[in-house]
Amino acid sequence: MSEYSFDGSEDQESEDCQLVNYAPDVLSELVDDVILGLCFDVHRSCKMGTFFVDDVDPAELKEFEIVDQVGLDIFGQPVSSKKQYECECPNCGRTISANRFAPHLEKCMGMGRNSSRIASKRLQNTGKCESEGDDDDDNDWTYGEKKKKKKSDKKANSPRQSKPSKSSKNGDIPSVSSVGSDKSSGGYVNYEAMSIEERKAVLKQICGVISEHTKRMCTRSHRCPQHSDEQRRQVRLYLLGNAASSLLDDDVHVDIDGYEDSPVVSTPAHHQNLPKRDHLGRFMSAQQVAAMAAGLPWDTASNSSPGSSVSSMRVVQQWETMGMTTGPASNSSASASTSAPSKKKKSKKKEGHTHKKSKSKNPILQQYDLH
Amino acid sequence: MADQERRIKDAQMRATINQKLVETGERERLKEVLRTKLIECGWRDQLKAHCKDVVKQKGLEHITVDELVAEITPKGRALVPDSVKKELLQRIRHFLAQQSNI
Repeated sequence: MSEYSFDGSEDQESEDCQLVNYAPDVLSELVDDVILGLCFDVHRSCKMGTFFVDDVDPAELKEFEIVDQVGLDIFGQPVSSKKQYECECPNCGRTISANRFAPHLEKCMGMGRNSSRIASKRLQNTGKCESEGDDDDDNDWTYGEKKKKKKSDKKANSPRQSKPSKSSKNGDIPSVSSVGSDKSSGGYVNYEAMSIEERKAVLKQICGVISEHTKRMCTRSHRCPQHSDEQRRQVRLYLLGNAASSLLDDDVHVDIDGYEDSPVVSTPAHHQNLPKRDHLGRFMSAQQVAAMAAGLPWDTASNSSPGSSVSSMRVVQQWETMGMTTGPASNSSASASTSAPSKKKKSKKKEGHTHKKSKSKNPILQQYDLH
Repeated sequence: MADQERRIKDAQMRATINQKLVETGERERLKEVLRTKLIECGWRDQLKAHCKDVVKQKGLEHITVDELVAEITPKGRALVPDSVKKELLQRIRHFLAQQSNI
């Protein structure tokens, strides 16, 4: 109690005593204040979700310890000048280093300039179609004359020129001699002036689908993405009649639609609605085609009912009005019409196919369906 | 009678002391000193660890400030080191002695 006696006088002493007696109260108040402040802090961090952020296991601490050694980065990984990134090719599944990935993809997917040639060559070799150089037309199948000329210039320089590519040149020669239109010099193949054999030769190499706008044949390869197999098949049926079967044998597909000049006028909508893959050419085996071809002569002789002969006549007339060469065309069309029954016998798939076609408002094909 | 009188006087004294503390800004100063001292001596960390236990026990979502205060205050008071207490008391008394003219 001696500490309370700061000052001399009695009165003041008692008062001081009283005043100084309050010191512990003041202290406890202050301590409570600090505790309250701490509680506020803790509560806030609880509600913000940061309260338990800073408590870590010793194990975790060890795991993420900062490494301080020469030659290692802070994660303990060796420092190399360049890290090799590896990408997995989505096509073939191999892992390729990143800087080789683009070239690989080009080759693997068969895109790009060179690789498309390589890939198409490979494909065509397996498909027994030995046409070269047509793949150069990948970009200029459309009606651009300039492009075509450029390309042909390039071709003249390329070593490929020296290769014996009689067939591909064959395709272009008739086009020069054509009369049909003034723009006939380029990718235009004048199919009307050609004989069946010539057409066959041309169609063996090019896609041949006839454009609605330019009335030209597509001069790209058989695998050109602009046209479906169905279109190609129909063009071959249209241009070659039954002779197309020999081409179809080669897994080549024909398009009848897509040609405005012919009586077969197809609407664009119809074009698009065509199914792309499941077609006659695909499903008919080589055997069936051979059997068909063999069956033709006596089919025409014995099997031709009055109805079929009438319809075949109609077909011939149409082919004549279209300005086709009458001789072989009429023969082939007649045989084509008579071959329908035998086809029906041979394969059900073929039957289904003709039914599908009959829906397509195609006069020639409807006649096919008559048999 | 005397008790009542005494109590009234007591309350008055507290009020005047508090007022003086606030007016002069001594209260804030003392509080700041106390806080730094307590942080220095690790009181705050100890108490925070205790808070963590309490929060874990009650659940992070359900904790309230009142609960925290009720749980923490006794321990907080007890944990204040004697040296800090003494120093603060010294300061307070010194201040109160200066205010002897009340």
